[in-house]
Amino acid sequence: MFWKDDVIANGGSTTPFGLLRAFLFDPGAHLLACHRAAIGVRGVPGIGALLARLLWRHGVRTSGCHISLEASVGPGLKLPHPTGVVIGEGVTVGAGVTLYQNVTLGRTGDGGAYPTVEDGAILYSGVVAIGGIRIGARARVGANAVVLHDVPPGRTAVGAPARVVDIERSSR
Amino acid sequence: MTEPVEMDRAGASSFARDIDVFLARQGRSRDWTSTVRAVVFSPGLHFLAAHRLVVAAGRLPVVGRVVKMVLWTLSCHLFRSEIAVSTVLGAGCYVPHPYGIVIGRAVIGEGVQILQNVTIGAARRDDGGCPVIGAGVVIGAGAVILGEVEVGDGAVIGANAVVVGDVPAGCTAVGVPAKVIDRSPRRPSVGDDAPSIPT
Repeated sequence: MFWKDDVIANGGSTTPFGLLRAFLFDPGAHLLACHRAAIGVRGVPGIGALLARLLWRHGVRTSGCHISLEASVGPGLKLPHPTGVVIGEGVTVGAGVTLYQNVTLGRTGDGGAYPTVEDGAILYSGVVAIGGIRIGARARVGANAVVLHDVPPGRTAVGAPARVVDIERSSR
Repeated sequence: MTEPVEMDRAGASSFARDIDVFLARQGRSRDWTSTVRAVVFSPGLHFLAAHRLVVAAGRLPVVGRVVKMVLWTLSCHLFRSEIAVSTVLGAGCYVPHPYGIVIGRAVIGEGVQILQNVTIGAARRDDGGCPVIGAGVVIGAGAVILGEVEVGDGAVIGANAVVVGDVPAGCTAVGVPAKVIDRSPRRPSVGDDAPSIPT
């Protein structure tokens, strides 16, 4: 279970009070808790599928984010402002990835491949990454970029369509 | 949450200006029934009321911090948009479709129009600089305004533009990164020029 990493990634603490606080008042931690719980209860015989559907629906309703339960989402996903985020069913998201608002990860059409976002990548607001592409580890994608090709690890891509640029990397 | 009764004077008068702008944009008169209708049926006014209420609640003695946090979280879930409590949002704001909007630390002037999926905020968490947006600016859908930039009065930011530099007053900026394409101040049109909207 990844819930501890999720809470820490979204700036909370894993003390009992910290977890409660994150669940109640941090929209990102709340959404991820719903997502992880929905996946967790799917295996419960009989009512699992219905419970998962209700939890998923609650997450969609409260956040406006559509994160498929079929997507592979690694531990410690950071959602600073979870609104308008769409993650399609075949997407693979690594550990410690940051997705800002209005990010879309999906395929180019019916039957197309889904993107892979590797560990520690940061996708700023409004990024659309579609097709069977790979966004490398610790890569960054600038706001409103449309990513149609691979982004090498540690590099920065901007623009629509996105191109890799040399930007002096500040420490973070 | 739509009722401004508990707001302090500043919040209530700002909200009254918001209502005036919505009525002007919807082509309605300022009579009593139109006002009630606009307040009840405009999601954008609910959104603005929630923000002004959150700010006002934060000033309450003792319980202010908790009430502010609870109301802010509820408003995030309700509108799927976030406005930081520290945002200075001028009166007479127009938000026709309050979805997917994220506004962090920023100073926003009077009569600004903000469309859906707009992001405004500081570029870095530790950096002191935040965007300063002038009066009557129109910010198109999906636009992103980041860092210590100044957008002059009456400027227009195109849809999905990413603004990382200053935009002079009255100019139009579009693209990723945004470039100023029209240096001529835009012609005022009916209901478009915020400072002239009834106060």
